[in-house]
Amino acid sequence: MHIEPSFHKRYKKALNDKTMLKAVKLGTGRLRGNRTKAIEAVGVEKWLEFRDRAEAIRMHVVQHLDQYLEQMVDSVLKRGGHVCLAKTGEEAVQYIADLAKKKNAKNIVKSKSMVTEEIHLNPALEQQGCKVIESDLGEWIIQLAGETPSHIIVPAMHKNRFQVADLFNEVSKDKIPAEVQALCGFARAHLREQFLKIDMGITGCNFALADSGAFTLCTNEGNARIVSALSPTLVTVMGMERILPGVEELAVMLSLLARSATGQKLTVYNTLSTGVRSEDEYDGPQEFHLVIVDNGRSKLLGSKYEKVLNCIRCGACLNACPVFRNIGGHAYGWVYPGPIGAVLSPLYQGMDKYGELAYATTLCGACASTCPVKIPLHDMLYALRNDKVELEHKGELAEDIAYKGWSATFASASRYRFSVRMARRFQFPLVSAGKIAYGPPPISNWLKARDMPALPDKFFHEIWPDMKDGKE
Amino acid sequence: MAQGTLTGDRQAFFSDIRKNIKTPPGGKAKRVENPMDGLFTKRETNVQDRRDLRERFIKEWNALGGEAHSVKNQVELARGLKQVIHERGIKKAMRWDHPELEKLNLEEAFSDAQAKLTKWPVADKGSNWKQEAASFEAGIVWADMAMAETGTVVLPHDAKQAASTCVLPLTFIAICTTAQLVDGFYDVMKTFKKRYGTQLPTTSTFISGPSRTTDIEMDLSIGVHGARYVYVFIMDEE
Repeated sequence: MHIEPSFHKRYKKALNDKTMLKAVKLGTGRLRGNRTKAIEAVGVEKWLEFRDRAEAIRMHVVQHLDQYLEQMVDSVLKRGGHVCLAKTGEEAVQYIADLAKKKNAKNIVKSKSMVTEEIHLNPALEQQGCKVIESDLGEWIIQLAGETPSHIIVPAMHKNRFQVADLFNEVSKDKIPAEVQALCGFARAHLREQFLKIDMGITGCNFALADSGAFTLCTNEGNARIVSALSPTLVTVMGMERILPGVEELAVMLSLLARSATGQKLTVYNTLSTGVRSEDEYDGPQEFHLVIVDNGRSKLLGSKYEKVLNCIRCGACLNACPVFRNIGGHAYGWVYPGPIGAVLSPLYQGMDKYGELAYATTLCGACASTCPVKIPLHDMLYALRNDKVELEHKGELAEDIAYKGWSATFASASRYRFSVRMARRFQFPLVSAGKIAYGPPPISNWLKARDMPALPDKFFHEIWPDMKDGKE
Repeated sequence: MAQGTLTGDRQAFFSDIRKNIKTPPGGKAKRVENPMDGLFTKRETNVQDRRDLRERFIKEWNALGGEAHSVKNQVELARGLKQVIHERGIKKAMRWDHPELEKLNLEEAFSDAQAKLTKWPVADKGSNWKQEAASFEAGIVWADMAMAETGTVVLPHDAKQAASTCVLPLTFIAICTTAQLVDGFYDVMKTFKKRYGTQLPTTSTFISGPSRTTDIEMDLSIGVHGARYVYVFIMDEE
């Protein structure tokens, strides 16, 4: 899928895609409503306690990440699993591609994993002749479409059933009607065949437990449960921050994840696995590989963006965001959309490529107030804007003078009053019918999109003394 | 079990992490003691409490799109199973090799309903056991615990209690007594800690209702990969 490099062009394109926008509004509205009902059922006070607890758990883990990761690595090795510590996405991809070659794995079945999207795993495996099948229904739909996910939880949210039917009919011998039940029935039959031919399975990891070396897979469809049961070789790829101390912390997180993501009390299938099966078991992998990916995460530790590592990928911030709801996920350009994507993309992929996403926000704070682990996303977006300005405008003397002058004027009441009086006196060439609709650069850009009311004859602070005395 | 291998430069990987971690003013966040306290129900239950929990479980499981039934004894269980076999047209089912299921003589109920019940494993290890397991129309398991607040059955797996039984067939049937009922996560995780410590089973599955998806137009569809028809029979404890 070609990704247009300019955010401006991407969102313009999105704004013209009426089918996609309708689907995204429906989807985010439904998920938001479900979450609200789930919180009401728990009780707001209890919910706030849940969030505080979850934030405290995640902050503790992130600030002790080295200790918990080392413990996790040792626990997995002790239970016979193999571990790859991948500093970059390329290292992770190389390890998995080499393993597929070594195992002569032709049929690879995956369950949903955002980190494998992040490191572009599928194209690398396909390039060496592997058939890679996404088994999550939404992921499979976008795989057939040659697209990337548009939502963390519902990857094909932007597609309607007619588009899905067209995609399935390219795979099916028989014509599948554009009815949801029929489409799901076809997916079950087709993907079941793939499960039974599986040479190697690849999953993501919702949470890993340091003390036991276990990892959890949460799916409503049950596809990850099948992948982990039927794969002779199983590869689990985890972002290195997805760790928890033990099962008690897991209980808190699983309860929050499902409610925040879809409004369910729990995801239908929560699998807790330690990897390699015992000698007498049929189910489960003979060989288990845990790939722990850094790919830019470690540089966030100790920084003002550290708390973004608390993220549990529930997607609640996407559903809450008025910008996401009006442009969909693909406009964000990289794999993580919405407010969390607007923060992660520039931090992981560089300010030069994704710095514009810091403006894909109204700074309303809905994302932060929705986040189950209390990531201050809108503060981070504001900080990213500052970073971008710092990076791009260093040394531009005229702009520096203008901003310093503006700052000095607005910092003093007398200077502010003097400046607005001057503006009022000299605005007349630009005013028409009480509005300013045209002007010289740089305000001309702003005026292209909206009019500015002309400065009034009297300001509030000029009227107020008389109002206070009851004269007006 | 042989120790696994590590790929990558462990020292460099962790030194990058250690180098960046900072102690914020006021110190690093402490580990949360007893993280479940105050969030989940915590109590000792008696027989009557667990009968109430059964009602709660049935309500939750049914709301998820499953069918949960209260049965007094083995006779009522057999009647319920025959009903399911009839409704779903089941000819062939598999079950866990579990001592509690062994006591219930489920084979007789299946035989009465002209259906066959096979105990796990359903084929030799060297054969194509996956294909064989996928050919069964129903899978029967013993629920180790059942969480009433969420309508969840907890299934630790081992060689005799395979995960394939609960996820491959279109119909899933879990059986337990009221003694297996707990309020929710608090009891489950405390039991796991007490029973296993850090040596968790190879796999455990927590199942809350039928397999579901809303990936197409947010329209709910049941049974896209796992079981479409899910039943729980809860007998009176002795």
